[in-house]
Order: sequence, then C-alpha cells, then structure tokens
Amino acid sequence: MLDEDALWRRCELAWGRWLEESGHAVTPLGEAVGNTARAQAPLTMVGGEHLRSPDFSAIKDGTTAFWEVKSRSRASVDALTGESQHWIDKAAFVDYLKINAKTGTRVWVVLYEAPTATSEGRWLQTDVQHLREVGTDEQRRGASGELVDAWVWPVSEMREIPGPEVSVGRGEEPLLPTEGGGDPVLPDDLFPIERTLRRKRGSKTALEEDGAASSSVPPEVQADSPLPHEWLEQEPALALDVLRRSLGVPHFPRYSVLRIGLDGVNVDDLLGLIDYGIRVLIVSTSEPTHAVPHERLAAYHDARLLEWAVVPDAQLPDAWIVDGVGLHELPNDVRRALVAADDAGGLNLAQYRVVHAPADTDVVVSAGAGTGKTETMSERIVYLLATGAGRSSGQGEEPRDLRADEIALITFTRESASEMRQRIARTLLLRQRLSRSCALPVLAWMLQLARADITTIHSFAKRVIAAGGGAVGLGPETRVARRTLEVQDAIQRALAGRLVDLIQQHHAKVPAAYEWQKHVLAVWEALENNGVDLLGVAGPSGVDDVDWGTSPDGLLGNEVVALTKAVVVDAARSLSAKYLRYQTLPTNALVPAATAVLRSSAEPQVRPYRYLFVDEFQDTDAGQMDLVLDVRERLGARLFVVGDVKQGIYRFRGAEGNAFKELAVRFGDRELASPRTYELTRNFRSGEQLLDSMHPWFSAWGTRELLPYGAGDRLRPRSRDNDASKAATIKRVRAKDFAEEAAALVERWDKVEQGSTIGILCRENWQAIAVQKAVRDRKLPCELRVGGSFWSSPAVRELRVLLDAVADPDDAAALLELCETRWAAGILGDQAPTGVEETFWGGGLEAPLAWQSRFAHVGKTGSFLRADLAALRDRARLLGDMLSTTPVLEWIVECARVFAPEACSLPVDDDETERRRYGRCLDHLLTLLDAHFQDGPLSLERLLSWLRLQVSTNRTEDEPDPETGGHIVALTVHKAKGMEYHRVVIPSTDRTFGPPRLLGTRTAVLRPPGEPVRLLWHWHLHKKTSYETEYTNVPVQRKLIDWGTDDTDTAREEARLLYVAMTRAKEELVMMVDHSATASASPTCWADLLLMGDRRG
Amino acid sequence: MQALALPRVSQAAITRALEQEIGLGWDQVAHVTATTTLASAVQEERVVALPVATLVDLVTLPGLDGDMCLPLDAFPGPDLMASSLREWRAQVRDWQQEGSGRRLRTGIGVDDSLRRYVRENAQDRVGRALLASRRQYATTIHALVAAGVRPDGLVAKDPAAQVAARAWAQAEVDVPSLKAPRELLWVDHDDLAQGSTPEARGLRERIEAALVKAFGSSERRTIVHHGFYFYNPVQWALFQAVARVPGIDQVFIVHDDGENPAFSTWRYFFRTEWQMPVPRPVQVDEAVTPAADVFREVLTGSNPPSPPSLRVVECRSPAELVRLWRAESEGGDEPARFAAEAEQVERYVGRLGRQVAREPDATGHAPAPSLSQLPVGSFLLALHRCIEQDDAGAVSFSLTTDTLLDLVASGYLEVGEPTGSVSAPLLRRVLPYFADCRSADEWRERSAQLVEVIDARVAPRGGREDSDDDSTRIEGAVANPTRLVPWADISRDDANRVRATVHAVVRLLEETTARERVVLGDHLKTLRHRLDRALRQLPPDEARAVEAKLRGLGVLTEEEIDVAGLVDVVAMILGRSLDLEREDDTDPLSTKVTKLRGLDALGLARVEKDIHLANMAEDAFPTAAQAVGWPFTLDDLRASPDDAVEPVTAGLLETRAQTAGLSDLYLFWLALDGVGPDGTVTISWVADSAGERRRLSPIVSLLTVPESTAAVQQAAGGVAVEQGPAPAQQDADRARPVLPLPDEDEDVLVGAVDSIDARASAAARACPRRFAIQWAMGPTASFGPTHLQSMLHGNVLGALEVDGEPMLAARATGNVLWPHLTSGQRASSYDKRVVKQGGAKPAWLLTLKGNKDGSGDLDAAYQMAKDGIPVDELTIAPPEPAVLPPRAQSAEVCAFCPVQARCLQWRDPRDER
Repeated sequence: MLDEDALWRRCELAWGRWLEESGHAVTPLGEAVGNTARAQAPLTMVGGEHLRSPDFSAIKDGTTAFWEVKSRSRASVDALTGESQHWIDKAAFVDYLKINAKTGTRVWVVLYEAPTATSEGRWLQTDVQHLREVGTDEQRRGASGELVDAWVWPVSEMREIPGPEVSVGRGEEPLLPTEGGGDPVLPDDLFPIERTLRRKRGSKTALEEDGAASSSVPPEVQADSPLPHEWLEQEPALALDVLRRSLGVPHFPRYSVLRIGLDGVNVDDLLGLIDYGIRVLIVSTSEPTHAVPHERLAAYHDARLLEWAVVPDAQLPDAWIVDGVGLHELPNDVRRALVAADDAGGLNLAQYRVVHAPADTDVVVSAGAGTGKTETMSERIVYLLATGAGRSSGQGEEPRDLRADEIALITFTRESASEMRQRIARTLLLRQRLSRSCALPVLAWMLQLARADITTIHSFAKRVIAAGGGAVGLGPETRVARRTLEVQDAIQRALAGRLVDLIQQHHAKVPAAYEWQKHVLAVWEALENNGVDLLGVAGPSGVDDVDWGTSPDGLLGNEVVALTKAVVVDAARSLSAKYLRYQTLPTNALVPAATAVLRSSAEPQVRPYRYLFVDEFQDTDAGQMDLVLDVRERLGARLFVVGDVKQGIYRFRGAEGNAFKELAVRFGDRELASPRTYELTRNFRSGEQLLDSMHPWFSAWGTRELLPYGAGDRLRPRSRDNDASKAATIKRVRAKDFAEEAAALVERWDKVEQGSTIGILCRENWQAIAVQKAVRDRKLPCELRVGGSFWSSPAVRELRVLLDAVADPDDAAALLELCETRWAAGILGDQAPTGVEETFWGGGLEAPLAWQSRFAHVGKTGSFLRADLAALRDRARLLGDMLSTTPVLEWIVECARVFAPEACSLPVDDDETERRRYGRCLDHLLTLLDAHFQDGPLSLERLLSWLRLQVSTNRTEDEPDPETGGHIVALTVHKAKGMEYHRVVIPSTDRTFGPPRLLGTRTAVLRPPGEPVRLLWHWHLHKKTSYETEYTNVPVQRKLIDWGTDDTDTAREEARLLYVAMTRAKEELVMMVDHSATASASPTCWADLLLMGDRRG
Repeated sequence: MQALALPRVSQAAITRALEQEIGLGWDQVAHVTATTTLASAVQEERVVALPVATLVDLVTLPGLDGDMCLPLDAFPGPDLMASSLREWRAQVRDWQQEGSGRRLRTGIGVDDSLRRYVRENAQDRVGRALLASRRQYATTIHALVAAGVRPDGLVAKDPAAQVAARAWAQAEVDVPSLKAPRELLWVDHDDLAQGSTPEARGLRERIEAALVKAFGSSERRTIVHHGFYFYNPVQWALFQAVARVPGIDQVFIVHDDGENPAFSTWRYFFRTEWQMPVPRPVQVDEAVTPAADVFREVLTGSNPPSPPSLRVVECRSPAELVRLWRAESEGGDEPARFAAEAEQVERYVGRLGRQVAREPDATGHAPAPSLSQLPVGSFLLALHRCIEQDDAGAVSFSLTTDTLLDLVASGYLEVGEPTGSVSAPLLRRVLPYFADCRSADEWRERSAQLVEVIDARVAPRGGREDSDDDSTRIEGAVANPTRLVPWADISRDDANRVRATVHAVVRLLEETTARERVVLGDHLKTLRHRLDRALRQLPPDEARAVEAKLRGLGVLTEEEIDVAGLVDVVAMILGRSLDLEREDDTDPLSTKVTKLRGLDALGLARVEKDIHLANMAEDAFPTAAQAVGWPFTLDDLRASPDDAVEPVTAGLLETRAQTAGLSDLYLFWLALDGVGPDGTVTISWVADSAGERRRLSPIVSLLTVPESTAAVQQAAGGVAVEQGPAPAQQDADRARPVLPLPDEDEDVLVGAVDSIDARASAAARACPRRFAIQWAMGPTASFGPTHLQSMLHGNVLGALEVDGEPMLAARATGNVLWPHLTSGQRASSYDKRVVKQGGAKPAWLLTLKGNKDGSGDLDAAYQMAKDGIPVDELTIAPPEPAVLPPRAQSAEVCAFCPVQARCLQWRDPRDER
C-alpha cells in the first residue's frame, strides 16, 4: 500500500514532467531552504519574508506561475450539503496568497484524485485567488490523524483538466493526506479501534433493543488503543475506509460491497460495512455464526441493506465486487456463482444489475408484475447519489456532485409520484437509521429531495413551461384548466356555416350538429392522445402531420371527411390563440408546449436535470416520448425507464403497448447510443402455485401474439418457507348473475379467513358498482374504487342541493330535496349556526309531509301543498343572509360544523361505510373548492354553477381513498394498478372488446412506422332506423387491414388488462366465465382469452 | 463588526455574553432583529428592538424624492415605548402602513410602465407572456433592485429575461422610486467611509438620523443583531453601510454550540470574504429539551427514541387539520401555532376553520383583511376584470355571463330603476340566452330582444303569471311550447328587470372604460364610495389597514395609469399583501398563522404552552428557495459586469438558495427546543391537497417510525404517526326526521290527477320524481340542459308550424329565442326535428324522446301525453312516506330529463346497465 507521501511524490513528479512536456521551464522548489522533515511546504523568500512555497515555478511564453501539487484518495463530504470538498493546510494557503499578492504571480493548485471503484483518477485545477473567494476555515485530519487548520473548498470550484497518468494500483490509496506534522498514521493501527467502536455501538444498540435501561458497554468491547477513538467516531468515512482495508475490500465503497465466498473473511466485519450505510451482498456456502442479533439481521434484510444467498454445494471463487464495478466483464466462475445465488433466492441478481448499471448509460428496465420496480428505482437513485459525487461530464468542466434535486422522476399518477418520493426518502432514511454511523450524506440528499421533480408528466411539463416558457410566450403564471365547454363551443363555431351549406345540399343525410360535436371531439381526443399537437400553442400545429383519410362514399362522404378536418383545424386555431392570450392550457397541451420550450433555444431556461426516471413507461404516448427524449438529448440527462409492456393499459390515452420498441427506434433516429436493457422477473407478490398456474394463460396469449410474453417473461416466485397459494381457477356462472355470484364467493372467502383482503376486479365502473351493491346486500362492507366517481358522490350532490335551496328558498323542489339529504337532520334541528340568532332560528320544526299528501292537495285547491315548508324556507333564507358577511366557503364549513351531515345515519345496509365515505368526500370537496377558488372572489351563484357543471360533466376526479384500505374492495382494473389482494375474483368476463357493437361508431389512430399518423373513423348513425347513415374516412381497400389492425390492438390491450387483473392476486384467484361460453380462436371478450389458456378448456 | 457564537440564544445567555465579551448590558445596546417576531419578543422587555426591514425603511424612505418621501417625524421614539408599548407599536404600524402605501404606488407605476413598454416595444408572444406574469416580474425586479442589481448590465440568454431587463430599465426611468432602494443604500464603501460624495454623506446622515429617532441619541452606539442565521443582500448592504458610520459598533449573535448540525447555516454567511465577522464561541450553559436533544442526535446519525413530548399527526384533508386545531383548543389553552407555507394554512383556517389561529397579535399589528373574499371584493374584482386593452392601447370591456352573475349576486350593483334588480336565481336561468354576448351593444341588444321575445313571442301564447295556481300554471306552460325554454319562462316584469340589470352593469363598465388612461385619484374616489359600506362591516383594525393603503395612494391623485392596470390596483388594495416581496423577506406575522420564521423568537424565550407546527409536508418543508426570481437566473447575474451586479450579490443569492433547507433545520430544532418542561410539540401535515397526495417532510420523518416491516420499525425506532380526526369517525348521532305515513283516499288522488293537465302528468309515467321537480314543485318546467335545448329548437319550431304558424314566422321565433346557438346548430336542429306535419305530435316536446309504438318508459310517457291519458294515481303519488317520489328504474330516462341538473337521484346511464 502506498502512503500518501508516496502518492504525492508520484503526482508531483508526474505533474512536473507534464509541465515540461507542455513547454514550461520548470523549477522544482522542494529543495528550498528551511524545509523540515515531513513538512511538504518548502520555504521561499518573498518580499523579505520566508513563506511556504508551492512545489514548482514554471515559465512559459514569458509568463511565470507557481504550481502547488496535491493528491487525495478521498474527497471529504459536507454532511449537510452533500458537497465534496478538498482542502489544504491553512498556513500554506495563507502564504500562497501572500506570494500571489506580493509577486503578482499566479499560484495554481492542481490536485490528483486517486481512482475509485466507479471513477478513473483525475486532475483538478484552480488558483489560490479563486479559492480565497470560495473557501472557508475549517479543520481536517492530517497525516498523523491530528486535526489541521485547513482551507476547505467545494470540488465544484475546481476544473477538471487533462494531466499525466499516475499509477495507483488497487488498494494502494493512502488513508490520510500528507498535511500536518507528525508521523503518519497507519491503517493497521486503526483496525482495532474501528472494530472496538463498532462493537461498542452494536452492544449499545442491542441493549437498547432489549429495552435495558443501562447503556453501559460490556468490558470485552472496551479494548483500548494507543490512538484516540474520536478520530473514527467523528469521521465515519475514515472509519469505513479503515474497515474496508481490514477486510481487504479493494476500493473504498460508496454504495455496496458484494462478497462471494467467506473464506478468510470475518463475517462480523463484513456485516459491519452496513454500520456505515453500505449495502452488503453475500454469496456463501453456509451462514457462519456472527454477532448480529437475529432481529437486526431481519431489519437489514427487509431494508435491502443485506442480501445473503447460501448455495451449499457450490464451488465459490473468492471475489469482491465494489459498487457493482466490473459486472459486465466478470470471470465465468464469478458469474456462475451469482447465477446460483440468484437461483437460490437469496440474491436478486437482476435487480442488482439494474441498480449498479454504469451511471453514464441510459437504462431500460422491463419489470414484470410484482417484481419490485419501485424499490429498484429507489435503490438506483441512492446508488447514483452515492457514486455520482464530483463527476463531470467531460474534460475542462467543473465537476459537480449529483444532487437529489437534479434527478427528475416521472410517474403516471399523482399518487404514485408521492409514493415514489416517499419510497426514495425511506430508502435514504433507512441508511441513516439502520446504519449506526452512516458515511453517506443522507441528510443532505433528503433535504435536496424536497426540491426534486418527482411528479406526473403533466406536472413535469408544467414546471418546464414555468421556467422557460417565456421564450414561447407562456409565462410562469400559465394556468392549467379543463376547457371542455370551450372546445365544444369552438367546434360548433367552426362547424356553423359549413354545416348550413351541407344541410342545404344533402338534408337528412347530414348528421346533426350534436353528433358532429361528438364526432369531432372523438377525433380531437384520439389525435391529441397520440401525440398530435393540434393546438400548437407553443409551436406549429400538428394537423398537417395527420393522414385524414378519404371516403369511399362519393361526394357527401368526402365532404364529411373534409369538413371533419376543417372543423378541427379552425377550432384548434381559434382555441390556440385564446389559450395563448389568456395564458391557459388544457392538460393535453402541456406536453407539446414543454417540448416546444426545450426546442426553443440551444440552452433552454430549465432546470439542469442530470437523470430522468420514467415509471410505467409502457403507458407513455408518442408526444410524451418526445418530451422525454428531448430532455435526454438537449439537456444531456440520462434516462432510466421502467415498465412492463404486458401491463400497458392506457391505449385509449394513446399508449400503444410498444413503447419500448418505439424508444429503441427513436434512440436510433436521434443517433443516441443504445440504452442498456434489463429484465426483472422475480415476483414478490404471488405464491408459487398461483404464479405457476397463471403461466399457461399468459403463454397461450403470447403464442397468439396477444401478449408480449415469452419464455423469459415467466415470473419466478421468491423463495418462501411455505406457500399458501392455490392455483387460479375458472368458475362457470350465468353471465348475468355475475354480481350475485361474486358476492357469494366473497362471503365464503370472508367466512373462511376474516381479515385477508379481497379484490373484486372489474372491467368497467358499472360492473364494480353492481358487485358492490350485491356484496352489501349480504351485509358485508365493501369499498368501491372506480375512476372518476367523485363528482357524482352523495356528498357532492347533497351539497349542491343545499346550495340550491339557499340560493332560491322559493324553490320548493329544492327544499324537498334538501329534506332527503343528510343535511336535513341538522337543518331541521334546533341548533342554529354561529351568526344566526337562536330566536330567529326557532325550534321544534316538524318533518315535511309525504309526497302523496302534498300531491293530493292539488285536487282540492288547485295547488300542491307548500305551507308546511314555510319554516324550512325561513331557515334557508337565514342561511342565505349569513353570506352577506361571511365568505362562501367559510359559510359551508360553518354549515357542515353545525349540521354535521356525516353524523347523520341513514336506514340502509352498510351505512357505516357510506357515512365514512360521505365524510371523506365532503372534506375532499372543501379541499378542492379551496384550491380551485384560491383567493379569488366566490359567490354562492358562481359556486352553484360551477358545482353543477362538475357534477354533469366531470368524470376525471376520483374519490379519496379510505383511511384504511377496506378488506373487501370492488374496483376497476385501471384503479388496481400497483394494488394487491390476498384473494381476487374477476366476476364479469363477457363484455365484448371495444366500443359497444350496437353503436358501430369508432375512432382510432394508427402510427405506421415512417408514415404520417393515420386517423380512422367510422360513423354509424341511427342504426336500424330510417335515418341510418354511415360515414368513414377509411377507403374500401384499407378497411380490412386498418380496422383489423385496430381490432388486434384492442384485443391485445384487453389481454394486458386481464394480465394486470390476474397478477394482483397473492394467494387465490377465481375468474368467472359464462356457463355457455366456448373457446374461440379470435377472442372478442375476456372469457375467450381465459378459455384459450385454460388447461381444461 | 464582531460576532459571538452562543450555544443558546436565550435572553439570559445573550445578556451574559454581552457583559462578558463587550462589557455592555442588555439595556445598553440597540437591538436589531431578523424578524418581527424576534423584535416583538425583545420588546416585551420594554427595550426598543427593530426588525431589520423597519430599519431599512427608516434609512431609505426618508430619502425618496418629493411627495414619496416619508419623513421620520411620525416614527415613535424610545420614550414612548417606556410609557406605552401598545401605543409605540401602534405608531410604528401606522408609519409602516404609510410606507406600504408608497410601495403600492411604486408597484402601480411599475405595472403601468410595463404595460406601456410591451405595447410600444414588445408586441409579441414573449412580451405578452411577460405582461401576463407581471406579478412575478415585479417581485423579481423589486428584489433585485434591493439587492443592488442594475438592469442595464444584465446579460440574459432567455428571450423573456431580455425583454424583462429592457422593460425594467425603462421602469427605472418612468418610476424613479423603483430604483431608490438601490441608489439609497448601495453606496461605494470607500466613499461612505470617507463621506466623499453627496450620496455617501446622505446615507450616513440618514443612518444616524434613523438610529437617533429609533433608539435615542448616543455618542457611541452598539447595535446587537439577533437571529441572522442567514441574511439577504439588502441586509448585507445595511450592515456594511452602518459599519462605515463612525461611532457605531455591530455585534452579531449567532446560535451555535460547535456540534449541532442544525446550527450550521451561519457558516455559509459569516465569511471574511463578504466582510462579515467570523463568530467566536462564547460558553454559556443551558439545557435543551429532550425532543431537541433527540433531533440533534438524529442529525448526527443516531436512532431516535420516542420522546413523549412529541406528536406527529397526519391530517388527510385541510378540514381534518381544522378539526385537530379545534380539538386542541377545547381545553381552553391553545398552543402557539406556526406553519410552513402559512398563507395556505391561513386560508384553510380562515375558510374552513372560521377561527383566528393566533392569539391577539403580540405586536398589535393587524394583518390586512382579504376583502376579496367578501361580496364587495367579488363586485370590484369582477368589475375590473372585464377591462380589456388591445395591442394599440384601445380600451374596451368584455362582459361574460359569469361576471354579470357575480356583479349582481354581490348585492353591490345599483340598478337605479324603479323595477329594481333581478334576483340571482332567475338571472342564472336567463343567462344562457346571453352566452355569446361580450360588448356593450351585444348585451343591450340582447336584453331588449329578451323583452321583445317575452312580449311578442311568448306572452301571446300564454305567458307566465306568477299569481296563477299550480293547475293553471301547468296548463299554461304545457300549452305554450316556447315556455319550455328556461329564459322564456319568465314574466314580462322579470324580462324588464333583466334588461334594467344588464343596462346598469353595462353603464358602469362604460363609465370605467371611457378613456384609455384614468386619473387614479378619481377612480379611487369611486372605489372609496363602494368600499365604505364594506369597511363599516370590518373590524376597526382591519379597516384601518385598507384606509392606510388608500391614503398611501392619495399622493397619486393627479397621476394617470392605463385603465387596464386598474384591476391590479384593486387587487392590491383588497389583498393582504402587495405581492412584491420574496418569501424570505416577508413578515412572519403577516399571516394569521405565524410563519415558521417566527420560530426564531423561541430561541430568545421558550413558550409556556404547547406548540403546533402545521403543514409540514414534503412540498412545504423544507423550503425550496429560488436564487433569482423569474425570468432571470443566477447565470444572468454572474455574466454581468461588476457595476451592474455586485459580486457579493450573486454569491449571497446562490448561498441562500442552497442553504434554505439548512435554515429550516434550524427553525425545526428551535421549535423542538421551544417548549417548557411540560410542553408538547405537535407536528402535522395535510396529506391531501386538492387531489395531490402529500407525504410528511423528510426532515420530520427523521423522527418518525418508518413505514416498513416490523423488524425495520423495531430497529429504526421513532415517533409513531397518529391519524388526525377523520370525518364520521364519531358515532352517528342524528337521523333524518321520519315522515308521517300518507294515507290519502283514492278518490282524492284521482281528483288530484284529474286537476292536472294530462300532458304534464304523463311525465310521471317516465319518472314520477321528474314530474314532481319539473312540473309540480320547481320554479320552472322548462328544459335546462344545453343538449336538450339544441333538440328543442327545431322541434318547437315544428310544433309552431303544426300549430299553424308559417314557416318563416316560426323560424323568426326560433332565431330570437335561441340567438346564441350557431347557425349550424339551428339549421341542424330544424332539419332533424321530429315534431312536424306528419311527424311526431307537439306533445313529443315534453319528452324529447319516445315513439308512438315503443314500449319504454319515455315511449309510454309520450304516448300518454299525445293522447291525453291520465297517469295512474299511485304512479304519480306513491304511498311511501317520502318527501319526493322515486326516480325511474332505468337510468336511460335520466339522459333526457329536463331537470337532471337539479335532481338528487339523477344517474349517469354509463354507471348503470
């Protein structure tokens, strides 16, 4: 092993030669007068003063400069900023400044960083004047281990430069730098101290874990040492370096150490690496005894800080792999050992490879269901942070430590964005918590993480626009808003004159204006979802990139095709101008606008992302992929995309299920180096029997090219002590009885094992609603999770009723409806809201009359009975009067407080669940109202109009999830992404793929490679009536092939949906198929798919 | 200058350190603090302490030119404090509010300058984007001016930044007070030391005068600075300027024990390179609380035990937070409350809590009210938001139906006609008729047309008479197809009221937009008139704050601004803040829930009560600070020559951005150490913010049990997260009243059925509930949904034709009844009409669906209406004890329901099969 002095000498000599070779006349100053032993600063006389001298003076082209050469085996890291730092002796630095000041001669500092596992050795340069501005006074540990007054600066303030090669063999890196006086400390002297300290910490923790009151340290671990323990206690990185040397680990680890074979290795020391936040992976033939308590070892396993594969009969070579380096050129015996370890189940080799992929490559991961992709991404991020310190992207640049906020992560939903951020934070946190003296700057990363863009692609796009959108005309206050009515209005205006002309020519054959509206909206949505930027708010519109098709039906048919295009073009143009003027964008326009921002200049004003992670990549559409690739290409960010083509279930949003192939093509188109691809197939969710039983189905679909499933995609179970799972089964039922049958099954399951979770997975909302009702009819609680149901939930509807009644107390219908709500109990009660006097409010209000009595009155008097509502009407007026001095939202809250609708019970089954749902939704509604109206003015009338609009048109807002996941849940497959249940039933499988055949109206977009986007539509009106008409833009000769392609794509998506549904089960899976269904070669419903893969079917 | 590092910064510790290190007592020095909270804590000891922002104002505002100059005369001296702290604070507040008025005036001027600049020089996408984001632009340039930056030397790459720099340069010419903070404070230090220029001498004089006024006369003065764990460029400029005034010493008190990582922020700021003193440690012994101790341990890598004095609570919604606070207050002893992103929590508490979150203000400083939430705000903002200015500067207005509704519903519209204003519910029904109206002429003409339609087209067929009984009303409405249109089912009087209301609004807008530029003083008088009524309803202190703003603007009496800029003026007057300050610079007490920066006062003295830190979510804490606001970047500053940007400025801004998280660590530690021995610290966050799931702040999660397996949790330890008080978690304690069981004789029911026009009651065959809401009990039987209106157009025309009206006349009726439909919609609807000669009967209009041969619910309803067959009495009035009859079995009926937007039981057919 080299000592620091020897390394420094090599560096000094090398740099001197390098200067000479580059034309400098070099004078070494190391032999100057007054030099003392081990003082690496020779003295020189400047202005009558003896000052420490730099190592060289060198002249080139008549210019003299001093050069001070330094060497370091490790940068120190600021625990609170995560920034790598270098330093020199403060006294020397002050002298260099004086030399510079007195002579006017520049004093350069060049520093050689020795190679690490993940980076080559490199030279860094700066000058002392710059260091004066950016450095600070601190103390650092010098050669003898004593603290030295130091001048410290961030590595990023230096510049990476070309320099001479310095030979530093593996394991030769010195422990401490040369600075300071005294004899250099040797690693051997520190080994026992490190071990003693570690045992002391371990004992302390063990005692704490045992709940012992005393934290006294057992005498056997209080070994004394000639050197102070504080050195290592205060500097975990130094202690880690000491430990890894004592173990013989060839490099200083930053993230992980993998050890194959335990011969000659002290297992306690090896596990001790975890004490410093280093992940440890072990492959051994046995598990020798060690001192780590069982519970703690379990915690290490669970936190993925430890993976230990025991392969009893294997011939294992002795090998170290530090930070995953060399994974791609392993000797055969090592590779075999790793494969054996993976097969044994203790080591997740695929995940290890992904996490440790080289930092400067793009990574594509295909992750099957339940294979732990979230965990893999989190670990990958920690790996990058830990090993990405101080890298620069090329020679001549300032090295910058990777900060957590330079990583962006795109997820598909807001919920998964938050979950992802939390998972990363947790992964970091556990490094800090479970390692007892963490050498990683975890706290700094956690602070930075708060600023990281971990978000949905639309939010990501919005942030890009907020930062750099000025260049394309979009300021940071650009708002995102739903504009459904505006789009409809624009379509009608664009259509108006043309439609009149068409009607005058063709009369009854011309579709109605509202049909046109539906048709154009469908076309609009299909094109936008497929990445066509119709609006072109921030760039050119994509309307000309579309093949709009031709009609096979002569004049009118072609006019309809032309009119479709013309209306889209005109509406897009008018909307685009409007959006720009009012700085408002619909959600669909965000991604194209962000792409336009990135393309607006060579250096767009956006955050300098260095890594971009994309989750659920299979659901990425064409426009989103453009944005992702532009971030890669224009900002130089490395990509990490993960997903599973088998789980692509958003075709209706433009994701075609071929995102990975498309990505590979586009990498090529952009002349980017191909990404590295990996596969994760170890399933951590389902039991072995269940997993095995699903394979024949998936395999059958794969064979028929309905699912991208090959032999390599087969999910492998994780090793378990016992497998509680059962093989998946098909149950024959009458299709129309699906809800009842499912409810009966759920009841049976619930009786057998109460508390285990049951998922009822449906294709459509209505099916889930029907099953929920059936389950509740059996007196069982059942949560419902379907997309977009919030605005039709009872809490929302009933608030609308309250507002209606207060806005117009003369509206007797509104008052009667109010009596039907949960608000009624409070409003008809005796407690007045704050701000209304009790005397006015009154008491003893009687229940209103039943409808029949009210109705009967009309026969007697000519009018329906309303008199009994007078008192209620007065109360509604009193409530309305409060609004003159109380803002509307405050008023609602006061009403909710005093009338407490969520505390009102209804005489229906399972009202407890419904009541909780009501409370949740009411809270959520208040949150949404608060966010939507912010500080802006809000009147009751405005709120009422807005609420009515949402109730009638908005089907995108989901209800908030329950506080605790209900153990029986009816949900759609789209809502089940990422979820898992002990038992799963798929009750309804007979729904025909695609839109209802009865309508015969379809819209689709094909993206043939190398050709414009092809729009297909078929418009079938008034089927089986005398007005039956049909229009299409697909010529006869293309009809079969184009619609056939669409049909195939639809069937494939359905197969993927079913794949997602089936793989949610952990232990048991039942799929219900109509009793009369038979196997079919070309599937048109899920039952066909199931019978296709059923070994008995 | 010197700096002392103390392991605790309690008053006792500081006093000891001052006596020990500089030989002066607590009362013998002048105290300057980083925040108002800290100043307030010092003032409690009857010692003058000024927040640094006030000191900057005292030094700069008297230096402004002309009537913008705010002299020191009205600022209270130390004597007043000695006699009455309350009065002293009131006078300080009044002086500050005068200052706010002047800043508001500058803000208005900058806004006006930007508008003109864009109009004259940047009529393109970029210029318009700048104008649209003018609030951020204004905040940025005010901050940069204060940081000593000049616009002319900025080297920006981004097109928006380039335009912004030019607009800023022009604004400095147009609005001299904009650059005053820079010109008055950023004076060359050598000149200042020597007093060699008029600017330098002026600054020295103003500093001396400000200190004398605030702290009293003294030959030699020591200023002790508290709470500067970071500082910004303007504060740095002040420290440096004061340092060059003879006879003044400055001592910075820094919180540091040499070990705790949470104390490290100052290290990045107190550097000799920035001419700031490096603190020297002073030993003072005082214990910290167990919770703070645990956090310190955690920061250095230890596992946290779970201190009993710490609670972490997850609130799923803002409403849960409010419930939690309410529960905390039930014992009568409210905790001291602080919040990250306090504006958001203030909004939650104000809107959702209806309670003041903070005790009566320690400073006596009343936060400005948000008048914008009250009807007057609704009225004024709606009025001014209509104003539009085209690229050439011409002014007009664009009035939408929503805006008209806001103006009317506010109650502040003075119609001035004898008939009075129309009621809001009726206006809501009528407004679709005006859907495409924007300009004055369009609104006037359409309102006249409405009157004419009612007079000439609706009333002759049987107009609405509010005095009719139900049978007569129903019969009249069934017979007159035009009354199926919501805006036509109104009386003549109502039509006239609508017209009068429209005219009143249009008149008001025309007056406001009569000229392109407006004398602000004149307009303020109008505003004042309208505000008077609202101000009378406000608490006196809050009204005073608005008054002060108006007074501050009073100096602008003769100045003109673009009419289009009025909306910003109104927003600033009504709003709580001027929106011109960066987050770091805002007063912790400017919100009703104290901002986290206000925690600094706990260093001086712990509170003798519990503490609640709210909103400690991942996106709110720690703070994500930006070095430079939009549209500039730090690179723009760095690339600029030294005379445009002081080198220290860029360094400070960058350092602040990078260390903002560390500052928050410090504040968090202060909170944990801020309670007495029996106190509890509660930390909460709101997990659902408008659909965005938010997790706990990573800093706080350092103290909590991680979400993981039992083994990990046991090994990692930490505080368990509690759930907030969920809605409906208590038992149901109420039920809807039980209705009496109806028991009407069959004869009576049959009689009732017979008394109603069978065409109307046929609706009950499709859906009994629909009949009850549409025909029986609701305000109108017309068809609300827009898609049904489109269908109605052609079919009403068809019905009129069947009824004998000539086609052209029928079409004319259609054109004036549905003028807002496009020509295409009208032509299509007419072309597709079902009701026509030889087609469906006019009764089809009542269902808009149904076939004479069909067997569905709507088919049957149509058939009964067509043939005048009465509906079965138990169908229309079932015997259940319910307030309204049930809806139709099939959700398909709901798709064609005229009252679908008003029916509690309406179902989307897509949800039911």
